[in-house]
Amino acid sequence: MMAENQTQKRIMLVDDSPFIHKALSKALVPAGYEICGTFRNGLQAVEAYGNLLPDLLIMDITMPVMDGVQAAREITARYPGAKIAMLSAMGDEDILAEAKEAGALGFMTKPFANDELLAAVSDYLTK
Amino acid sequence: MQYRFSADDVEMLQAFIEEAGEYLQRVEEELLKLEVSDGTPGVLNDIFRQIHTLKGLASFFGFAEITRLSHQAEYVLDALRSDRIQLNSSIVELLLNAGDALGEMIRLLQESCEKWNAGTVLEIELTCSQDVEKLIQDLESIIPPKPSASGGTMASTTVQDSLEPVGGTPSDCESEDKGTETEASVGQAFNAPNAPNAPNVAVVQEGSDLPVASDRNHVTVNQDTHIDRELMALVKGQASAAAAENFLTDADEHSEIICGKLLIDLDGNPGDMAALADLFRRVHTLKGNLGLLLSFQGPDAPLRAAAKETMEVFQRMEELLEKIRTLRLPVPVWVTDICFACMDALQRLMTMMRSGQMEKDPANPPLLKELVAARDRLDAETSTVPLPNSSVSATAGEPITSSQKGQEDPSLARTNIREPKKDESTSEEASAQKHRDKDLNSNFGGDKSNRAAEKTQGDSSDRNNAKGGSLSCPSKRTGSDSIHGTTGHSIRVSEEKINRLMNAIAELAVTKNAFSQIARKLMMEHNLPVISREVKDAGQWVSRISAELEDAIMAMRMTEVRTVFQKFPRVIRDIALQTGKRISLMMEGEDTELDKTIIDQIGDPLMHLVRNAADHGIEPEAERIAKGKDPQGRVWLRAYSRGKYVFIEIEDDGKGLNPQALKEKAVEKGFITAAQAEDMNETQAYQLIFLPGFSTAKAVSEISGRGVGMDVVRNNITALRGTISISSQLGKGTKLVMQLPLTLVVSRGLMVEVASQMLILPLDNVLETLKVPGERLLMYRGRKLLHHRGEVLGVVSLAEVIGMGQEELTERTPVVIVTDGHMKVGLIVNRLIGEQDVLVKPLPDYLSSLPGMGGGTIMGDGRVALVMNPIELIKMATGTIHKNILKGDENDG
Repeated sequence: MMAENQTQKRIMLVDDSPFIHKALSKALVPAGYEICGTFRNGLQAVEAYGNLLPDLLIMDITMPVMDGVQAAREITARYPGAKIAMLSAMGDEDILAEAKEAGALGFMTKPFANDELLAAVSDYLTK
Repeated sequence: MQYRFSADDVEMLQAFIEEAGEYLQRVEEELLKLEVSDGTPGVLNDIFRQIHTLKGLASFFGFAEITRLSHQAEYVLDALRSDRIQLNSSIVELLLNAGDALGEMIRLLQESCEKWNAGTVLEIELTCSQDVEKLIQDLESIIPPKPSASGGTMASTTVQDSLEPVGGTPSDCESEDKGTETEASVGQAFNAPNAPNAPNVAVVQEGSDLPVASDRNHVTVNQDTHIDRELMALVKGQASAAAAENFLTDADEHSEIICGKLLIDLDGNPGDMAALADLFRRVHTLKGNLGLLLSFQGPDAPLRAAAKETMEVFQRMEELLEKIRTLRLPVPVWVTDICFACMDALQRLMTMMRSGQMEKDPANPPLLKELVAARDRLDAETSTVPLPNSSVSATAGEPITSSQKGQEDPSLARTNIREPKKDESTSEEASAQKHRDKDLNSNFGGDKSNRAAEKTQGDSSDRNNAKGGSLSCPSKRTGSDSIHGTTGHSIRVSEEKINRLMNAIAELAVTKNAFSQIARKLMMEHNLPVISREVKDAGQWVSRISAELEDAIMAMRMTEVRTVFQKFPRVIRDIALQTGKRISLMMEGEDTELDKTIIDQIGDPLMHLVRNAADHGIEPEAERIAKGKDPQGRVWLRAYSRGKYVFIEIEDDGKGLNPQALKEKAVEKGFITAAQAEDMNETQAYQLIFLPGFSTAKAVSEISGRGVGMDVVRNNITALRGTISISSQLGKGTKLVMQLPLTLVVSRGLMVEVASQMLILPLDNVLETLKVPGERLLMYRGRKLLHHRGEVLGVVSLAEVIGMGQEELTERTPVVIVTDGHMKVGLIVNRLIGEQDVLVKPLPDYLSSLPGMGGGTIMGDGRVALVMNPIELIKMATGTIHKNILKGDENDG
């Protein structure tokens, strides 16, 4: 889980479905993370990233306006240290390689169980 | 399959349901768009994304049916957008069906959630009236099998098969599958313990293999669908009422748009593919809703029999439209007629549901027969016509309804389309046949002009199609915007709740006056100027808030006249059909707003006037042509607001009123004397039509009814504190103008004292107030008259009119001149007190029959004052004048 005695980690969520925002917040907030922003598409994420500079960006792949892979590409181009974890559902598999190449640290699949999600998040944060 | 949710999870479930509903709604809209836009990648991507998201969300709850079906639909969509398969109408149909099935399951979830008692475990039995497995298989069969899938039988394909990464080579994904299958760890997302397939989680990090959610266990899921019938029956019983309610709300909306817009549009422009697509979608939805409604009815429920037939009607209507749509035909007028008849059947069902009296609709079986006949007729008309001669004869045999005359004859266009009649032939076959037909056509040596006509018709219909294709998206949008656009985000609130709020605000408006009275009391009786001042200030604040609340509630009650106007295109169309005239209706200012109460009450009078205009006003076509007018008659319906009034005009370019004929008729019927008729100018003569029992139509027609009309119309309008005036020009047309107040609730009144009673005269009807010396009132045949501004004004004592004695005439007798819009009468009162805002409340039933009383209001000091109805007062006053004059005449003679 989350490392003790650390300042609260800030996580930014990007998914076109508010349901996912809710589901992620429900898992992350009780575990002591701060959700510093939620966005509905890749473009919003690109625009907001610089202002928020979160510790971790969790982002969906299939989104309107700008998809997650493109957004990851643009964010890592400007902020090479950005930590991005992609959320994927079944069906996104073929894009995962592309997402990795775009700078994503790794993937979490939907649906996620809370403990698995938290384990993955803390893992990404310590990278 | 059965699912259980703890109280904690229901919140998430509700969030899911809400979102899923939105996605499905959009999917359906876009699927239909897809057909007319020829598979624009943007639209496909949109649909793909919605379904993809839906699938992702459903997987959180382990809804296997939803996840699998949406996954398969997504897979097909992906194949479509990457051009691996070609779009055709059967694919769209299948996707629509899948969307319907998903929608049905989501609705079932929603209903279960609504029935759920907080704090308990929610158990849901997820079922679907469609065979989900079959749908999944059908969807699978669309995609050509790949070599890698050849091992498994298609019928029992696992999700794994369809999970092949789209871009990857078969061998790659197989190895990947094997690599990650076991790695995918299983957890339970929302502690749904009984969900047989626990949601899977795969957390894969850099360096590890690509994850593929393993769903092997999903495949076995459907085998243990045992249905707890008792539970279902219980749930259904409770859900039934809610379902009926939802059905009615939805059906109302669709009906309005179909009858008020789409069918009218198609009537005017039969090639409007966007309107046809929208119509089809709505009919499809209505059919689905009927099915849903049925699914909540037990086998013996009285609604069942009635709704079942209506559903059959819609089923056939949909088939008919589907056929027209796939053949890309312009919609023939007779199909539009049948569609109207089908919508009427729906209306009848809804009326039955609302009244609770269920019986079989006797009109449905003939309608069903008609629909079958329509289908045959369509088949016959679209079947190959082997020889040019027979094509000519088919044209000649086509009945030409009067409303088509003069325009390009649609029947020509119809016979011109030689789509082979081969039931549900595939698109390739159809297009091949089309080519063959074209060749055949070019070999026809026959009638040249006929061929020329065919050519232009063909071209224009092609153009129509092209237009329908390329413009359908934007035009559809604007179409629906014009109906829904202004609604924005809105909630439905029952009128009763609004009324309650309004009453409370009205009470507040009255109560606030207490502040100033207390302030005065504190000052005068207790000599506390400081506190008095504070109370007064507080009162002013409350006043301001109260005024704001009044404004807000008024705004809430404001409704667009569109809600009344939208039924008129149909009315005009029906009249045109019945009378054989050609009439077009022009509506302007539909977004003008009026108080809901007024909107509700102008419907009937307006209907009467519009019918009059179309039926009596507009001349038959031959007559118009003889007069050198445009053969197509026009009726205008306009609404606009000026100041505190809304005006509604009904104008026609018909024959106009003949003032001489009106006078003769009035004399003949004994309403006026010949001498009176002599004196009347044209404007006065037109007013005669508002007399009770006056009708100019020699033959009473089915449409405009008998001469009960105009006086009733006028009474209805005046009851709304409005006025109506008429102007006309013989041979040119007639125009009626209604002037209506914006709102009925708050009005300004003039308070007067009569026989030591406080009475209020609505300021709308007060022209002026005077103080006249008693001696200036002349007596003539027992009546008081006053020379005022060059006119002779009848004056009566208000107290006398309402039977409360008589005022003394003084040096400065107060007289209030009131009008009903045409007549002026002076009312003598005791004292003029002042203007004030009044909230008129209706009198209780046992007092409402008192003549001259319009209502009551509570004054600032808590006392009650009666609000007079000046129109009735004038009638009462002039009634006596009238009688006396007649008596006088008799005596003289």
